[in-house]
Amino acid sequence: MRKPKRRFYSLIPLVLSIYLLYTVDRWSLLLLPLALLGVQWHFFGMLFLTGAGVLLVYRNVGGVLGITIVALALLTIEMGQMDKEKAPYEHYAVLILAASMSIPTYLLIRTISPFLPRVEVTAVAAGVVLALYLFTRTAGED
Amino acid sequence: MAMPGEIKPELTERAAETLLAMWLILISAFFFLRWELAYLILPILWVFFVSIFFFRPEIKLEVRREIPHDRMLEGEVAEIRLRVKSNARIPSLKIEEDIPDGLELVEGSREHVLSLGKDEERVIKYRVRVRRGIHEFNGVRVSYRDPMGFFKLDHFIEHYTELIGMPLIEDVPTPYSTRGTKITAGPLPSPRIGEGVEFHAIREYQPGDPLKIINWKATAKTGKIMANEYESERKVDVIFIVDASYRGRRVFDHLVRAAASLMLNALNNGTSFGLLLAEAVPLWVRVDYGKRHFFKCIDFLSTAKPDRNNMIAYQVEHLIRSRFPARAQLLYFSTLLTEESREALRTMSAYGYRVVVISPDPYSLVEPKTKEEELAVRILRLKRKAQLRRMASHGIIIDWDVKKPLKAAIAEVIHP
Repeated sequence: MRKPKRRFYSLIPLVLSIYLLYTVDRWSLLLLPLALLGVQWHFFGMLFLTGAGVLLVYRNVGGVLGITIVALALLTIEMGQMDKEKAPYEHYAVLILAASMSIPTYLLIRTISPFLPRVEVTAVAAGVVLALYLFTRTAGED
Repeated sequence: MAMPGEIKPELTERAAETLLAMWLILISAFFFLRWELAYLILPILWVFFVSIFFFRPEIKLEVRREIPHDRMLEGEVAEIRLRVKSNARIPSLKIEEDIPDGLELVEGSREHVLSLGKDEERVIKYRVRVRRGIHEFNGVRVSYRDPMGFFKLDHFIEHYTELIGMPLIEDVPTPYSTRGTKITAGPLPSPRIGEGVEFHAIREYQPGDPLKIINWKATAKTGKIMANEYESERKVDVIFIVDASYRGRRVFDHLVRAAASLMLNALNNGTSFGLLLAEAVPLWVRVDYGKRHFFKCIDFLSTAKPDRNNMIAYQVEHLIRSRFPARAQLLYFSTLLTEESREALRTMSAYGYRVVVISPDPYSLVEPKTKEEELAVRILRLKRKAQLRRMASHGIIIDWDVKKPLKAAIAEVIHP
């Protein structure tokens, strides 16, 4: 049998994310074609990620489940690219570790939020936006 | 030579797309008034964070290229080593070597993907076949992607190396007489300059002549004291004129090889020689002798390129008036395809110079594929033959079929 030109590890997070999305809303199966294309082409993958994110916001699904779904969707796309390039396994490890760090971070925010003043959620959101802005600046500067 | 290059990364399309997805999720969280769900972008933030702070490279690369010699004969294969040293860990680095067009890759690849540790040095080897000419390596192109592919570096590290492909030189007979008017000096086989070493004639002994020149055999035969007469070694100046017209580009390498071979012959004969490389901007190397001069001329011949030059007759006439030594021997290397090149030959002959023309046949390398082409080549060859015959009164013309050795072509015309 001919050896395929790419790996298929990205199908694992793909199946998991689609299943979890299905438990949230069965209409989310419509995102499946985008997800499959996203394994090969990054742009479609990002459409899938955006679609999943907006759906979660629309259905008000947050918490560990919401973050897990976003993390799995992201893993699907990025691992898809790594599969294509046959990247070293340590790159997969770095990616999975980085994405999974979001769950402890979320739990940390949850834990400290009761001790914060009432505006806590907005403050966290503002902090996130600020961090995002800084990252973009840092990444984009020459 | 080491040339460090500091490289700064930039965002890739993948990073831009990911950032856009993140913004859209964030905006939708605000749009649906579920601000707290902004934390859904945490996984993306984390991946970016890791990518920026752990894999964003600050690379200082040192690149060094090693070639076996600065000068190599055309057709030789050179092993080139590219040493790459990084001052930081680079998980995946693509290196593209800038191989000049004149070098033909015979082994190895111009692109390599490396993984470098801190202060690790790697050697990339490849082999190229050298063609005649100056070959300039300007640098290497490096390209880096972080594991997530969010940052890229595409950088050209300048590192200049020059390799000169010299023309092939073969052993040829001298197609002209080296006797001339010039008393030679320098690294030549003449132990006593001026007094002479070459046997000239036998004459009667005159009082005052040194005893050692007495020819005892002749004295016994004639009964009178006879002495040998010597003359000092006198050599001719040779001027090499290379017609670099683009019309002869098909056999230009052969033309240059012939010039180089005869130049080595002139060096071995101990004659002085000069060179006129008739490109669009003519290059004149004044008459001189010795190895250093020879290598200087060979360097110029190595870099000669066929050119759109139709000024050769003018260039030759100008140099005859201002630079050429009187009674020099001219060696003219030309396909004689252009009217200008034929005019140049007429000029040389009109000024009374002895000229030997080495004319490689430009059609000898053409391999006709159809009957029509074969016929065309035959007609062109006949036309050339007729032209060479017309020019024969202006000098000795050696018509060289380049598939044969030059030695044979010279021997056909010149019988020693």
